[in-house]
Amino acid sequence: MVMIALYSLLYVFLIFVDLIPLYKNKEYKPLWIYTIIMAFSYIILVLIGIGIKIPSPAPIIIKLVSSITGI
Amino acid sequence: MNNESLTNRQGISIVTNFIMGSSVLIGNARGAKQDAWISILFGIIMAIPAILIYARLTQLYPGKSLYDILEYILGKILGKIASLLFIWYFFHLGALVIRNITEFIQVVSFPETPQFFVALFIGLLLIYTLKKDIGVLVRVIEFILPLLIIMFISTMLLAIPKMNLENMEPLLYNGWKPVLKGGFDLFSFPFAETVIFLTLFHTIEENKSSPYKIYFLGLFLGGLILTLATIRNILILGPSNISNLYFPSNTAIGIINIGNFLSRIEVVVSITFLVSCYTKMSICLFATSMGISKLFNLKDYKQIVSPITLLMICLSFVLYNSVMEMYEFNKYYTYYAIPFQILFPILILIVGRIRKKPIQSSQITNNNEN
Repeated sequence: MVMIALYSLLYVFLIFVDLIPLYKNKEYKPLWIYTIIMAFSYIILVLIGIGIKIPSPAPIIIKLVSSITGI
Repeated sequence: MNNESLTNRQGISIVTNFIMGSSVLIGNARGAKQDAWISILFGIIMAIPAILIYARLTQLYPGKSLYDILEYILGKILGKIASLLFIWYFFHLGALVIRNITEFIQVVSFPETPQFFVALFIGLLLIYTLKKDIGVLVRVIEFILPLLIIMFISTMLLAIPKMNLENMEPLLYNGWKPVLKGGFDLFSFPFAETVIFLTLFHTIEENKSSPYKIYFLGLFLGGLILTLATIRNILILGPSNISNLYFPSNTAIGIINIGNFLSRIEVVVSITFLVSCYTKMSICLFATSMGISKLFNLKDYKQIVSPITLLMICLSFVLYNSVMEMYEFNKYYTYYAIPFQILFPILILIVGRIRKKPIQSSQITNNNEN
């Protein structure tokens, strides 16, 4: 919970510093990309914060490498 | 780095610092035991061809970053797909380094502090750095590298009373195989990771700076520091201790005790680690943001630095469950990184030769004049 609260503060801060100026300058393309990546990362952070296990890319890479090199 | 260019000295400092990065932190060529320092020398020799390729690419396409080169050579769609692969690699590399540093801080300094707390402040620092432009980072590194080297040499000198030359013996007891394997590991982590500089070195001063000089001197200086650090660790701790420790440099320096007065100076090493890892993280973040901004044709990479930093931190959280898994993954990382470090750059070079002529400096000047 502490994690979610702390990171939420950071997100709010970044919205004021970054996102609102983008909206005011009518730069809609970066605004959309910014919002999508931001929302995605926030969802992952909240999921980690409430204790849900997110699949890591490491085992996939290990499987891929060992299937090719046979380690 | 929009309006300014990179000098030779700045380039060499940043490559050296990048190579020092997390590899001084987590130790190298563990399998080679007392011969790890020979592995590093092999690693440097193996990295020379790779670095020749990177420098040649920088020279053939002046003023173009890796993503521009990919689009120029492979066309729009294929170029974007190839860019996406590189973006993933740089993004993943950045997350790996963030995880290394948060693990280090948790294992060594703050065992009770959760990693997300450390990562939060690292993230803030990275966002602030890149918002102020990568040029600021380059100038800071240029200033700070001599200080780091002085710190490094002084810890080497202070450690002399604790060194035991017998720890180096017997030389090549296990034969050449583990040494060569260690050399190969070192080639992909950290030496050939310098492929990332293809995204930055298009800003080097034309006619004044040479990519060959920057890459070679950076590699040799970084390699020398790694070799000396490894020799120091072997001499102080002995080969069996080194293979059991997660962060050998830190323990080696922690042993130093001069007359019960000057002791526990591992914080000096921690500063070196933090600064060099910070450089590595910033460069990875810069390369990723630059790639995504080129992918979507954005004006400036600074516009999307913050969400990418946060996403990188998220990835660093989910990568491993423990520090043991982190070391386990390093075994596979060597092979995973080879396509990005060797295959793709060679392909770019060959396809570039077949499909299009390299850009001449005069062409760029003409374009600018028009």
